This record gives sequence, C-alpha cells and structure tokens, in this order.
Amino acid sequence: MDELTKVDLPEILPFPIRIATIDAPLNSKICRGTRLFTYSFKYTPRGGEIAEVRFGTWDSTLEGELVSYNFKVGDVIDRASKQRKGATVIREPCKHSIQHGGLCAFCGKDMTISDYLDYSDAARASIQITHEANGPTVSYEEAVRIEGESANKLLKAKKLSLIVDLDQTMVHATVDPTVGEWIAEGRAWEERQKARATTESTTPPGSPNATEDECNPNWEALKDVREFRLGNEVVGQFKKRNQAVEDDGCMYFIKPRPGWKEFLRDMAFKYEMHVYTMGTRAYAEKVCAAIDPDGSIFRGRILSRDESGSLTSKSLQRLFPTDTSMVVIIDDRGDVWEWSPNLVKVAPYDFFVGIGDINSAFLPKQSIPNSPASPPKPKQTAQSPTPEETSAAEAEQKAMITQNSIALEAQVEERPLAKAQEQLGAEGDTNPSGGLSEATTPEAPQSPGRKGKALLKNDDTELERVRQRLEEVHERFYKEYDRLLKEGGESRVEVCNVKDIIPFMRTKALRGVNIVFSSMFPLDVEPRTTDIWKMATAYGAQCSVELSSKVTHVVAGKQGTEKVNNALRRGIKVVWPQWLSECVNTWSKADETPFLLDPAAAERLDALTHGVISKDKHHPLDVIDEPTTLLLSGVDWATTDKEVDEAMAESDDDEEEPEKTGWATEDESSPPTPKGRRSKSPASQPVSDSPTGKRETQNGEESEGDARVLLGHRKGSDQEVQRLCLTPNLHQERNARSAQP
Amino acid sequence: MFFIKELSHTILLHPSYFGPRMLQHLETKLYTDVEGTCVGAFGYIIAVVSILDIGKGMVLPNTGQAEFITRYRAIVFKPFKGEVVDGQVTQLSKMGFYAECGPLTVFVSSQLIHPGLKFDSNSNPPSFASDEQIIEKGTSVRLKIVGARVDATEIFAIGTIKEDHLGVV
Repeated sequence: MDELTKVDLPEILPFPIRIATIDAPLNSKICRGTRLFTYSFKYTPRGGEIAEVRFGTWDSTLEGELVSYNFKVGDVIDRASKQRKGATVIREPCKHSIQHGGLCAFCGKDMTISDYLDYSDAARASIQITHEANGPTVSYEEAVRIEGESANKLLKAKKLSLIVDLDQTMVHATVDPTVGEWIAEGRAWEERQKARATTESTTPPGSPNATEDECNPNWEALKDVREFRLGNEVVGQFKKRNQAVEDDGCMYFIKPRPGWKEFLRDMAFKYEMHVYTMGTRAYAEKVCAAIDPDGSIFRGRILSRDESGSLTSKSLQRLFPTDTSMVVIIDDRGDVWEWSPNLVKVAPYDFFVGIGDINSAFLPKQSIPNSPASPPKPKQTAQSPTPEETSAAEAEQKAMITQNSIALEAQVEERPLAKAQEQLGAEGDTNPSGGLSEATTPEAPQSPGRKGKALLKNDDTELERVRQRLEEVHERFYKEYDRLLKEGGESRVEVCNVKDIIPFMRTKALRGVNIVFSSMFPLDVEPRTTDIWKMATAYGAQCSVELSSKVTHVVAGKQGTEKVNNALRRGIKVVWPQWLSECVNTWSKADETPFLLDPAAAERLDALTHGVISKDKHHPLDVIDEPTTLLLSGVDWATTDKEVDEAMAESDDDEEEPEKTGWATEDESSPPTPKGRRSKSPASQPVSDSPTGKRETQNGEESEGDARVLLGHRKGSDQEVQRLCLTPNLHQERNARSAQP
Repeated sequence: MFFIKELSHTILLHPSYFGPRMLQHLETKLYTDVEGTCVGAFGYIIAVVSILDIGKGMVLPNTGQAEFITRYRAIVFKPFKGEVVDGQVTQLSKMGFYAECGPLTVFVSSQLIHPGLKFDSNSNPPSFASDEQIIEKGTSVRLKIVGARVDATEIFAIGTIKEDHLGVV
C-alpha cells in the first residue's frame, strides 16, 4: 500500500524563505513532527526599520520515508515558486484515504489527534460517498476511483443513475385526518356492497336500497392510499413519563402517483434508482416501504434530510462527488437543485388538493403558485386537460381554503380537505369546472345517483410523460456511447454526458422565445436571480428586463401593468405564468391561447375592427383590459349611463388611496407613478395610450360595471372623455396626492 | 478481550425506597444502571457477576437521598488492536460492511476484504460474493481488529478479513 505523496509547503510560512539546513536526510524514516528543514527569513518588527534575520523550521505532518526534496540548501523560495513545485515527496505507508468514525479504514489509526502542527489527518478524507449520515468518508482521489468503478458497472449494465424525489414527484402525502375518515367510510361502504352482493343473489335485482347507499365520492381515488403512523421524534422521552400517550405521532397518508408501479419497475431496468428526499429518514423509509415493498428497486439507496446536510437545497455532489455525467434527477422543484443540468423537472403531484409538500416547510414557496391570485381558468380546449390545467380549474376551490400552513399540526387541525370538500359540495352545480374535470377522469365515472362530487381525482398522467423523457435520455446516452465504443478516441465524459443531453432536450422547449416578466417578482429583487427567470432560461428561453422588438412573450402576474399594455399594443402575446409552467411541464412551447391574459380582448379587437358593436371608431383599443367575463351583447346602455352618474356622484370616501380609483389624472408631462406603488393595488389600471397618441383613461377598479361605464360614455368624443376625467373631485384628489410626502 | 474487573458505582436512592425491600431495589438499580454501558477506560460492561459490597447508605443533607457506593465485579469487553473476534454482518455497502461483535460495531472496508470477494449491488440483499463464498446481512465472520477508537460512551473499530483464517465462518 506504499504510495508517494507530494507535500507542499504550508501557506503560513513567512515567504520568501531561504533554506538554511536540511535536517532529515533522504530515505530516512520520518514521523509526524520530524523536522525536515530549517529556514531563514527577513522579519521587520513593527515600528522598526531594519529587517532582522530570523529562523524557523518546517516539521513533517506525515509519516513515512523521505523520497526527495525539490530544493537544496541556500535556495530561496517565494510564494510563486512554492506553487510551481511541491516541496518534498514522501512515501507513506497509508494515505488514510478512507476513514470511518475517526479511524483510518485501512490502518486503523486514529485520525482525530490534533497537535501543534495544526494539520488534521481527518481532513484528508472529507467526501461522503455513501447514503448514510455517518458512513465512511473518502479522499478526492478515492472518490474518483470509486465513482469510476461504479460508472463502469453501470455502463456494462447499460444503465444510468436516477435520483428520485418522493414528495409531490412519486407520491403525495398528507396528515389531514379527513383522509383517514374517508378511507374508513369507503371501506365500510365496500363491506356493505359485498354484503349486499351476497344478499342480492337471493333478492331480485334493482332493489331500491342498492342506489340509496352512497359511497364517499373520493373513495375511488383513495383506494391505493397507504397509511402509516410516524412517531414524533421526541417520543422516547415522552413515553416513560406519560404512558397514556401511546397513540403518539401522526398518521400519514401516502398517495402514490398513478402509474408508479409500472414506472418504477420499468425504470429500474434502465436506471439505478436512488431516493433523495427532504423528509426525515423514518419518513423516507416508510414511503419506500410503501412504493417498493421488497426493496428491490431502491435497495437502501435512500438519502433523506437527516443525511443530506442541508434543509434548503439538494446537492448532487452529496451522492456523486466527482462524476455527475450519468445522473438524471427527477424532482418537482427545480430551485432546490439550482436548475442543475441533470434535472428533469416534473409537474408537482397535487392529489390532496391544497396540501402541497408536507416536507418543504423550509423551502420558499413555489414561484408559480396555484394561489387565489391565479388567473381565470383557461378555456377548456379540445385536448384532455393536463394536470396544470386541472389545477387551474381547481383554483377557485382552493381560493377558499385557508392559506395552507405547512406545519403539520395546523394541517391536522384545520383539515383543509374536509373544508375543500364542503366547498365543492356547496358549489355543486354552479361550478361547471368540477364536473368537467371529473368527466375526464376515467377511473371515477359519474354514477347518476351520486350526490357528492369527488375532490380527489386519479387523473394524473405525468409519470407517463416522465418515463418517455427518461427513456429518451437513456437512448441518446447509449447511442452516443455505442458510437464511442466503435470509433473510440474521445473520453466518455466529453461525449456522452447527461449534462449535455438533458439541457439539449430541455432547451428545445422554449427556443426562440424571448420573455419579459411583468409583476412577477418584487422590484427590489434582481430579476436574474429569481427562480422563474432561471427556470425560463433553463428551458431555452431568453429573458429580457424591458420590452424590445425581440420579445415574443410577456408573462404577466396581473393585468393592466405598463408592460402588459404596451405589449398588447404591439401585438406581443401576453400570457399568465401558468403558460410558462405548462411549457416546462410538457417540454414544448405550449399553445398560448388558453393562457392569454385576456383572450376576450383579442376577440373583441376583431369584432371592433369589423364595426360590430363599437360606435366609437377612435378607440378600438380601449377595451383591451376588460375582464373576460364581460358580455357586451347584454349591456343595457341606459343602466350604464345611470351607473356613470352614480359613479360621478360618489363621494371621496372610498377614494382615499388615489391609485385605487384608477382614474389617471396625470398629464403627459407629469412624472409617472412609481411602479412599486402602482403594483400595490392589483386592480389598478393606469394609463394606456391610444393609437392617436392621445391619453386615454380607464377605470379598472370595479371590473364589470365600470368597464361598462366607460363604454357607455364613449359615444362622445375624445374631449368629452377628457373632461369627464377632470371633474372637480378628481382635481382634489390630485392635490391630495401631491400633498402626500 | 473479556476481563473480570472490580468496579464501583454510586447509587443515589430516594427516601421513598427506604424500607424492607431496599437492598433488592439497590441490586436491580445497579444492574439496570451499569450493564450494557460503555466506560471509556474499561470498555463495555457486559454483565455484573457479583456484588462485593452494596455500600453503606449515607443520607445526604438537603435532599434526603441516600448515597450508596457499590462495589461489584463485572465482565467487561474491550477490543484491542490485533485481536481476532467473531461477529455478524449487519449492513453492507460498496464501501465495505459493518459487523456486530456483541456491543461493538466494526467496519470492514472493501480494501480489507479479499479481492476475490466483489460487491454485488444488484443482488438482493446486497452482498460481497466470490465463487465459493458470500457475505450478506446475517453472515457470521471472523475478523481482526486493525484499530479502535474509544470514546467516553462508545467504541468504534476498524477490522480486516484480508488475512489467513479470517472471513466467513
């Protein structure tokens, strides 16, 4: 095991130094602390002017046999020449390149001894290479060797490595006890059905009570939910004191993603599977026991947050310290991986509506939330709804759910699912979207007698999409590799590298797209550092800060911002952020139509130019910011006129916040309102330029009524509208604004 | 290596135990307190063989608790470098395996396993296998301790099976 080790001079020596004597002769045995040489250096005492010559020694930090010195007596060594060549070469009996528990795994020497030399042997092997937290650590060279070995093994088996995330990728977990109740209900119902089936054979079919008994509408989707109890981490201390708390810990409900079984089974042929989760070790093991009961897929290759070393990010280097060219990651979050080129992002699995990821309390919220602020649901197109669309359709239900607190206790107490189900029941027939998405669920056919609607649906097909992608990555990799085997020459990592393949596939999605974001992130944040920016870039889009001729899409968080209005005027597509996540999920440029910020506007625009409804040809663009739901055919112009009068007569009471009114009162010359203030009131719709160059005003505060108001009044000329805006109380308001600090 | 060693242990007894069954209680307390623990200097205390002197209870001021300084004889286990022990494999990875020799956990790195035995990650359970031998979870192995680190409450050792007469038994 004798190995040669090059030793550099430590940084702390007072360079430049002059070698005075060499104290340890060549080929002599040295041990830790043996003096190797004595040197002299010039030292200027503080405040003194004359440099004096001082002496020092350099002691060996290693044990072994001296092979060579790279200097001789009298040489002067400065920092530059120190870096050029190592100082000595020592033949060591053991390099301590694998260590475990403070011991060298080769020679059993204690590595934790520290002395005046300030050099720790433990630092020589610092890379964790196994999944365990306290597993052996290795040195860099050893890591390279081990990785090379496993890479060869994989190449031989024609496999790649796949890191699988659990939460919201493979499974969706919740602790909401409602699920337990529903499952119990469903099981009881199943029992009753069974009992009835036996009795039915004797009684004539179609007996009345067969339809009376109703199953929980969610039972169909809940059938394959696994449950397990996980104790609190402090349970041990508890139990002795309080025997009554036997039932400690909470119940976890795990819903595997539809198609998980086939996915894991098939992927295991092409990939060596690893689990990397932000859950605790106990949680990860329980979930893996649920989705991989005999342990044949993951084989203990599980890394949880207990071993990860970080609660906010995942590191590929933790598992693959040196070579990541054969690793593919599937995860529902790109930010924790810093959008690594190995990442195949999957759409988050959101089965228990509104629960989110129970193990990501430490992480920032997803950048594109399906939050109440999300847009009106996109129009249902002919193709079957993708998960993203479905979730957009569910946004209304979610809107009413209390903001999901990730803390589990809160979830247990609040029971968001029960509330959501109630909500769903209450909305009943009024909400056609629920029925729509349910109709597309093949597993849950709507029986005519069923009253309740299912909140939980089995309609996720993401794994199929992921499988196709993973298969493509695998195929591309081994096509290159086979070519390499035939032709030879280049090194493997350069030619077949997952890090090239995935970005190549990924960037095809949004190639040629140039995006400007509008009201997507706070003003004080550098846009390039935001997650959504990185995501768009990772998928091949160019992102710009300002509108330019190159820009093809504006992704807007709300209507009526300056950029949105400008973009609409220029004919640039303005879409909701859901369009971007749709692109990311499908790895293709999604059709913008369902996601257009205001599809009605486009239609109206058409209609206007054909002169169907507009009596005012001067303002074809005014209607752009109308809400989607506006139906012009049914407008009662008399009422709208009345409404205008009312609006004008309104007192200033509710107009304390000047921007809220949305009446733009500034002249062209007056300074524009600061963006930050403007964005505070989401409904405000400041100013849009009319094509004639004249300033137009609009009220966006109250969606339908006021839009009609303006339309009603646009029978008059430009001047009339201008005058209308400059009514006395608005003058007041302007004064008030200028008086503000 | 196992030793029989005379040790002492201090027991603090709450006054509620002062009574006819006090001695019995002291004994059980001694057993539960010391058996299975690890003392840095002597190693693992495997079992108390006999109690030499249960001690005279000294009632402490203020608390009213009685202090018994108990002397007992116990079997202790302390691993030494170069010692050959038998153990059972508990966990395997590509880096090597862990074996339990009673209370002591020993790590055997793959470099200290005979090169003929190769780690096979695809077998279930994972194993080190050659043509005639297999090491998997539960296998009994004879190993030699290469180094041991004794902490105050734990001992950890590195072992090898890359020598004659070592390996699967």
